[in-house]
Amino acid sequence: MMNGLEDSSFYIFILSEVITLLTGALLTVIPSINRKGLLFGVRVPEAAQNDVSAVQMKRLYYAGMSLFTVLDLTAGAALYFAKPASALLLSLYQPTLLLAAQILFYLPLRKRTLALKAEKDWKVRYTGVSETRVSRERGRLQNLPWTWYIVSFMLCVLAVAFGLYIYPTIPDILIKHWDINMTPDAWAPKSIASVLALPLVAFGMILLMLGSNILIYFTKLQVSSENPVLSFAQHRQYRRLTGHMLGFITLLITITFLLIMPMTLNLYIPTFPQMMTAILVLTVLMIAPAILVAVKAGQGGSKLKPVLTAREMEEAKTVSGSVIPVRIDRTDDAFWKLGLFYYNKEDPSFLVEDRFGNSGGLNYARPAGIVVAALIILLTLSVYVFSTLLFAGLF
Amino acid sequence: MLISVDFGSETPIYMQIYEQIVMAIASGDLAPGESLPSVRRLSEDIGVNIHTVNKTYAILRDEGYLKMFLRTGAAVATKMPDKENIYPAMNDKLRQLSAQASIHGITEDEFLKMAADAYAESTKGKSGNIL
Repeated sequence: MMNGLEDSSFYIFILSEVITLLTGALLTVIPSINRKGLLFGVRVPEAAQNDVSAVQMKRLYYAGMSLFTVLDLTAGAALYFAKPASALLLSLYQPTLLLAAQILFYLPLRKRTLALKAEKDWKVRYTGVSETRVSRERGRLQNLPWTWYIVSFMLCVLAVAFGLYIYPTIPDILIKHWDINMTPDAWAPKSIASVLALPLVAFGMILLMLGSNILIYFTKLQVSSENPVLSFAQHRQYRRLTGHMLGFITLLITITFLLIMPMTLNLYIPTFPQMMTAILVLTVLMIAPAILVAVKAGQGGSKLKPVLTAREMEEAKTVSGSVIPVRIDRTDDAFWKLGLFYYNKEDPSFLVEDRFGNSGGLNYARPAGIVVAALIILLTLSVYVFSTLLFAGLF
Repeated sequence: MLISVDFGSETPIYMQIYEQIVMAIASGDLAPGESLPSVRRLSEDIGVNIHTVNKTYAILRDEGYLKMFLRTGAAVATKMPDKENIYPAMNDKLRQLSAQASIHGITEDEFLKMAADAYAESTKGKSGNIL
C-alpha cells in the first residue's frame, strides 16, 4: 500500500511540477504578450515600451519571475522528497504561489510606471472606439467554431450507442471503484446509468466550454487608439483563434471522458502508471495550445498580423488623416483600481478585457460583475478548503 | 465604419458620434440601408453610458438619417430627407461661419473655395444626392 501511494504521489508530483513550470513561464512572459499600449497595467504610448527605464523594469520582472518559478519548482521537489505524501497539496499550492508572487512583483513596478508616466509626461489619447460592423457581429452565435462542438457531441452520441450495443455482453456486476493502486474496492450491478454516465458528464463539459466560448465572443475588447483599424482586424483573427483553441480543448476533454468509459464498463483496466501518463499527456495537450495562442497572438491578438481588407486599408488612411487635435487631460488609468480591477460606472458592459492577465476581466461597477466575481472566489475557496481538509484527513 | 470618441475633447460625446455618423453617410462609408449596432452594443464597445448613444440615435432618427427598428436595432435610411428641411439650419450655420471667416480676414472667394473643397472631401467627389 505504502509503495503504491509513493508511486501515485510521484505522478502527482510530476504533474504539479509540469503545471507550475507552464504557469511560471506564462506569467513570466506577460509583459511581452501584453498590448503595446500597456506597461504594468498603466496606459502608455506604444513607443514607451522601448524607453530605457521601461526595458529595465521589464527585465527586472522577467528575472524576478523566472527566479521565483525556479525556486517554487525546487522547493516543491525538496518538500516532495522529504515527504512524498505532500504531493497532492503541492499540486494545489505550487501554482497559486506563483500568482501571489506575480502580484508582489507587479504592484511596485506599476507604481514606478505611474511615476515614470508623470515624470516623462507620457500622453495617451483616451478614446472609445467602435467598428460598427464588428460591434454588430459581436456575440453573433453563427460565428462560433461550431464544428468542434458538433463533433464532440456526435462522439458522445456514438459512445452511448456503443454502450447500449455492448450492454448485454458486459458482466452483470461491474467494478465501480478502484483504489489508488488500481485494485478494485467497490462493485455494483450494471444498469443503463453505467452506460450513460460518462457521455452525460462529457456532454455537460461540452456545454460548459461552449458557454465560455460564447462569453469570449461577447467580451468587449480593448482597441488600440493609435491604430484602431489594425486593432479591429486583430480582434477578428484573435476571436477565431481562441474560439478554435477552446473547441480543440473541448474535443480533447470529450475524448478523455469517453476513454474512461470502457474502464467503467470493465472492458479495459489500465495500470496506474498508464492512467497517470494519460492524464499527464492530456493535461499538457490542453494547456499547451492556450500558451501557444497567448505567446503567438499576444493579449487580445495584439501581436497578430492580419491581412487587411481593401476597405480597411482605405479606412486606416482616413482615420489617421482625420485626427482632430484635442485636449488630453484624462486617461482611463483611474478606472483601474491597482491596475487590476476595472471600476467604471459609465461603462454598461460587465465583461471587459483583462489588463495584466489576472483577476480582471470584469467591471466591478456592474452588479453582474460583482456576482460573477463572488461566484469565482467562492468556487476557488471551496476547492482549496475542501482539498486541504481532505488532505488533513478530516473527511 | 469606425466610430472613435475622444473622452478628453470639449465636444460632447453624443455630438462626436453624431458628427461621425453623418460624415460616414455622406462619404459612403455607411451605405444606405446598412445596419448599425444596437444602442446597447455600441455603448458597450465605446464604453459610454447607454443614454448617450440613445440620444445620438434619437437625433439621427428625428433628422431622418436613421431608421430605428424594434428587433434589428438601427439602420441608415434608404431615402434621405429632402433638402428643404435642412435649409434653415444650414443658413444659421453658414452665417456663423462666414462671420468668423470675415473676422479672420478670409475673403469671399477664399471662403467659397474652402466650402467647395470641404464639400468634395466629405462626399469623396460624389456630388449631390448620395443615393
